[in-house]
Amino acid sequence: MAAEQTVYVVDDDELSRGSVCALARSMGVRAESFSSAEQFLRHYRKGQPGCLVTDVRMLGMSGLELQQRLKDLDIPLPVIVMTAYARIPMSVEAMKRGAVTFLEKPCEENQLWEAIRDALAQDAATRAEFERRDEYRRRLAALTSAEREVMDRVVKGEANKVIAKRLGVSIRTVEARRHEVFRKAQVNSVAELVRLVMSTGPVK
Amino acid sequence: MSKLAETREQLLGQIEALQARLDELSADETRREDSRGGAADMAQRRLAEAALREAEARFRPACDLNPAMMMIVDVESRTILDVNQAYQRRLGYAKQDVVGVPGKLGFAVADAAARHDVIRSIREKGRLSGYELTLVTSENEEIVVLVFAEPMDQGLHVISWVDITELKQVEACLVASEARFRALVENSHDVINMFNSDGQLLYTSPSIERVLGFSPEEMKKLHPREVMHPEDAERGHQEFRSCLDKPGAVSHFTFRLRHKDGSYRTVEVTGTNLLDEPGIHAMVSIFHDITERKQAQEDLEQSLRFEALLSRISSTLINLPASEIDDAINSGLRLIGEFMHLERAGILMLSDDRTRFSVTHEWCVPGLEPAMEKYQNFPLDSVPWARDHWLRGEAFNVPRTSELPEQAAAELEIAKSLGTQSYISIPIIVDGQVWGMVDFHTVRWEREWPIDLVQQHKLVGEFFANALARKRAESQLRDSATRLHAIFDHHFQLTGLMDCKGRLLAANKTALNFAGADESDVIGRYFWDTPWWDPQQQSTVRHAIQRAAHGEFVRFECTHIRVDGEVRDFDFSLSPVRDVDGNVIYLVPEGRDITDMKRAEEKLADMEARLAHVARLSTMGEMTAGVAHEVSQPLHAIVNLACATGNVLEAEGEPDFDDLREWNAAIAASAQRAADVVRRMRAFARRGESERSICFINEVVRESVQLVGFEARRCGASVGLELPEPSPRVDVDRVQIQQVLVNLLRNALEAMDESEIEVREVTIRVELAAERVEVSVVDTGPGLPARDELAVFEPFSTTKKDGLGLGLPISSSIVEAHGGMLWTESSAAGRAAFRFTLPALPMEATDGG
Repeated sequence: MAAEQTVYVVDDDELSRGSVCALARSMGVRAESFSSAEQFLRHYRKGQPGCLVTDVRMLGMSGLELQQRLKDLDIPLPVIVMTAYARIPMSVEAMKRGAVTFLEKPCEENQLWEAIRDALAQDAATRAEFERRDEYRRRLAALTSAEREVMDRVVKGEANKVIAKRLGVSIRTVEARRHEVFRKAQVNSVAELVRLVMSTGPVK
Repeated sequence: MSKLAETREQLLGQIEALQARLDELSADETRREDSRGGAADMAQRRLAEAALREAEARFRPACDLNPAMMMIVDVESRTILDVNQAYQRRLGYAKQDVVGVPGKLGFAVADAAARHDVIRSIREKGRLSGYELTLVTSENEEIVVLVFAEPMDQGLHVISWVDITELKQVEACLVASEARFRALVENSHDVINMFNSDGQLLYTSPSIERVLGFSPEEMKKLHPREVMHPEDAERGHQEFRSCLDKPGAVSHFTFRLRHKDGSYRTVEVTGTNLLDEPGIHAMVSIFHDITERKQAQEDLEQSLRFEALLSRISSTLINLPASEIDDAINSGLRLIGEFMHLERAGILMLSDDRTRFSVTHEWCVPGLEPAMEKYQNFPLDSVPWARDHWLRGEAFNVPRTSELPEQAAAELEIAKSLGTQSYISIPIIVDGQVWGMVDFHTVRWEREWPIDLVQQHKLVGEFFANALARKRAESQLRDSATRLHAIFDHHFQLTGLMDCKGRLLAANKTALNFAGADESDVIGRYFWDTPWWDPQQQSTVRHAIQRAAHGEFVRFECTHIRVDGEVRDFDFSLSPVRDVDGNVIYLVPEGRDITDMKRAEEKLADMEARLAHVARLSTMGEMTAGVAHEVSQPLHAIVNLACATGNVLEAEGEPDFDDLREWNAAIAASAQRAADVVRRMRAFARRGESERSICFINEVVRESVQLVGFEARRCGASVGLELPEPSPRVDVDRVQIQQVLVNLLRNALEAMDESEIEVREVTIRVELAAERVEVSVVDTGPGLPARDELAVFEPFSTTKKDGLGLGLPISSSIVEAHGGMLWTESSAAGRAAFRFTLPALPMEATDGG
């Protein structure tokens, strides 16, 4: 996994493409440019950090289609959509799909610059969030099934003796397993445990 | 001859029989005389007397019936004792007047010497046989007889006269001229007459009755003067007289004799003086009736005179100018009418639709009321009987109007109103078409219309038909000439006529009025030396006339100065006029004032240019998004580059100048690109004056493609170019041709954008063929429905929600204004293809864009 963030520029207009790359470079960010969405998809590997700056109207796949494709592929790359022919419905659709920014060409001074900065920041944040979640999952993954069973009930708010009764074990056993859960999950309170479980996604 | 001989033989036979009877009679008498004597004699005598009475009673009828004149006479006392009935009948004397009168014997004998001769002969010889004697009848007629005498007892004699008068006359004729006599006999029409020197008719043959209606007997009672035509009597007398003086003379003459019915017959007479001829002693005339022949001859002469008249009328009609034909026809009708002793002649002409007729020409004798006024536009159907004849082109004649058939009641009424007794109607036929009729009428009497007369009148009909046809043709021709001249004079254009040398022979009023000139100012002058031309134009005009005189149609645009000083634009031409041999004999100059047209054209062109401009603006409106994109793209780049440059410059440390140089160049390029778009759009939107310039068609195509570049990208279509190298050159309004191409391209893009097709391509191909450039725009869209192929060129016909529907009509008019054409066709694959042509300029040696 390449740690360095990259601005991926997809635009069939060479001048436009070049100018976005120049802007990225001036920000000290690495930039890669593609003349079509297809070319980008062939080149990009999932997980590479950075952001995507794409034009809407292009020969072949449009910018919006590309955004959709990334979503389908569960690629969380922030997308900046630019168009010289902006229409409200189009921008709303792009937003719904999770595009960070929707910009009209030509944008105001620094607008793209800021958008790229924000996108990279978001990308970094997202990636950090993803890493934290992975850590939580790793912690939860270390639980035994018995411990897991007790955790689920704790998260649901059941008292120890209720848990013991339901599971048909002694309350001491429940307390021991509960302690082991708190230790492995590295939490100090039920509230912390609940947040951790929630952030790992749906309960399996 | 044989007949006469026979008659003669019969007569002689009768005479011999008579003689035999007389001999027998006298023998009886002798026997009776012998037995006479004594008492016995008395008894015998009584017996004898009784026998005698009986014999007499028996013979009396025989005697009376005998055609010969018989008498019993006492020669001594010259007393006639008895006569038979033939005597009384032939001589006309009554028995009691002549019987028993002493000295009466021989009183009827004309010649006293002959009388004595005969009586002496009888007394001395007792008998006489065959003595020829002339007697005078109680009616003073001389008859010739043969005398026979036989003695009876008691000194009495029987004398019989046999009438040979006719025989003698016939014999006289025979002697006079055997040949003529034969002709006379053989030709029963000939009449033989014998006159004495006083002119008294002694004999006439029975054929007289056939000729003059009188019997010979009646004829003899008439004096020649009563029979002769009064006009011929004196001449007849002279002829007779002159003939009388010359014995044996033969004369021929012709005169008219009155028929018993009062009419006159013409006879041809051969007269011969045979007064000295023995046995004839007469003036003999033979005549035959030549009335018919003479009539025929007169008819012939009449007919010849009529034909001469007709030919005179005909030649008059032929040589007359059309304007005088009517008068000539009227006088022709009069001449024919007078010649034929008619009372009315007229021409009836049918209307063009053959439903009415009018009397157009008429002549009638003074005193008759002309029919012309009454019969104008008279319905043809009101005279159905005549109509049927007329329309069939049949001549017909009505000798007696009273005998018109029942169905001709209307015609009879008309005839009565005109007083017509008989008439003839002759069709006037021209080219197989009945134009009308010539009618000839009699009023005072009825007359027959013999077939040859009808024929001649048919000729009249033909003459008149020809004349009327010629009149109509000439009047049409004159009308046509008048019309042509009117056209010439009142023609809107300036026109005239000149000879090949350029001398003006005629100029129409329009031309004269234009220059404010009179004919006298210009006719006969060289055309280039007329007020229509100013001095600078003279050599051009002279040159044009030379070319036209060589048979060329010369045409050029020029200006003429009108009399009011206004300069007018003209489309001037010179057309050579050739004779039948192909030689140029005249030149027709023609000037069409195109000032107004030119102004209108300019105005129209201006209007079209403005409309095209409006359409372009409309197109641009539709293309706003594309234009915005085109401009925003480079602006976007500039903004980004400027921002990047700013970032680098504000950053700490040494900036990367290579980057900065590169970005600066990119900014310039982007700004240039934006400027290009703006320039193109500004050019495309420029005001509508048409500006022609020579340009390379490939460039125009490329620019057009750039104008729709964004729209092509937006709908994901590629634009393919197939351009020939070097590029053909065209003299066009660049922007307008771009407009056409942009229009076709956008249509293609939109058609494809609205469809579901995968491959979106527009191909523009430029081909150079002959002297034109063909540009085709073919897309991969669904094509045009067949019924729309023409409809798409109709203004306001559009399938687009926001289109004006003016794109194709305006494109079409732009192409046509450039001398090309725009059309559409669906290619085999169902794709829409639009093509247009432009006149190509000759290729240059150097390469094009």
